[in-house]
Amino acid sequence: MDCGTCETASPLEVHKPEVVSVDLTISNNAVQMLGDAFGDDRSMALLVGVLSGGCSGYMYDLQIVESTDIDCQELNIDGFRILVPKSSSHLLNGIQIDYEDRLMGGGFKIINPNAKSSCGCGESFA
Amino acid sequence: MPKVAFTDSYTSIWRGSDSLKLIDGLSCNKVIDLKKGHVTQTAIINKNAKIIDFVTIINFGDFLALVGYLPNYESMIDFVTPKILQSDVSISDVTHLNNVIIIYDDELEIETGFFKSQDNITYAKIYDNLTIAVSAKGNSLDIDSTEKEFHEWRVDRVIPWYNYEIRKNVTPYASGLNEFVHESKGCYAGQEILTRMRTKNRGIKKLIKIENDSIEEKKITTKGSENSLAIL
Repeated sequence: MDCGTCETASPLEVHKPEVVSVDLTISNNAVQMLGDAFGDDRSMALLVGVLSGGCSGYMYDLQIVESTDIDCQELNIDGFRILVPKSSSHLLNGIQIDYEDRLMGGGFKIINPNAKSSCGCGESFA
Repeated sequence: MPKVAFTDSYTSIWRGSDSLKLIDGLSCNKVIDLKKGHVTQTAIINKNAKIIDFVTIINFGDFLALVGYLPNYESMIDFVTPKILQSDVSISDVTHLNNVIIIYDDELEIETGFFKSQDNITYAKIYDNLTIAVSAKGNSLDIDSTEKEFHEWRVDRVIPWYNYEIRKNVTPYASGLNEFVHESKGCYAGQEILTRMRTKNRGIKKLIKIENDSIEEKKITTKGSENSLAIL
């Protein structure tokens, strides 16, 4: 196994899902919260991604970034730069980003028409 | 030290900085902290907590080697690869380049949970006195035992095995893999179901050794000459 023969084995061709042109909306509450977070600096972007993991298999990943090495689609919605990784575009098309103002379980929420199920905390979906 | 071929196994190489994280998020044992030089085992499960495959993970530092059950390989790949997304993970199938051998009743000076590589053979100690050896083809160890003898040995030590106790599409708690369900790791697919089973004490079964005369034949998962294994 450490003899170098494994180096000759080429990686599996992973089936890459088709990249779709993402359409997403942001609720008024979320727009307000993003406005508070970004301030006047609109050079920053909201990266909306999906990671493997969570109770249901996929997990949302929201980050405020200046730029990213990930190959993304860039959208401009309500004056905000939104970045969506092309590799997860098929999972995020049609989502709505919402914000719930609650002491417990509050924060940004993703309403995803592609999700067949989601976990109790709302961070994970399948 | 008896050696038997693990012919229905696959070996895959996982490269990339996110490999352990990906496996950790899709399996019920905690593997995220697996350090270079260490070995562990985990069940890759779906969101219904049903087993897709049970794998041995060997951390070489630069890459991971996963040894699993060959009939489960395609479904494991079909399950895992859509979850890679933008993660830094690349998987190679090296089954055709390696032989996997089970060494049991071994006296190898390796601590359980560790491996060592010598003469192009990697010895991964998964239980006390049970090692999985992965060798490049052409460097294979001599086989001097039979599957029947191996199963007789593991019945005595209450060790679950593929296609006997460890089966696809059942939960780890119904496969004798209770010790591979980590009770306090973070979220992973199927975790809510396993936690509910545990807290309500429903569907939790145990792998036991029992005298052949003391149990109905249909409940036996591995039959030995005097004792058998059953999940009750």
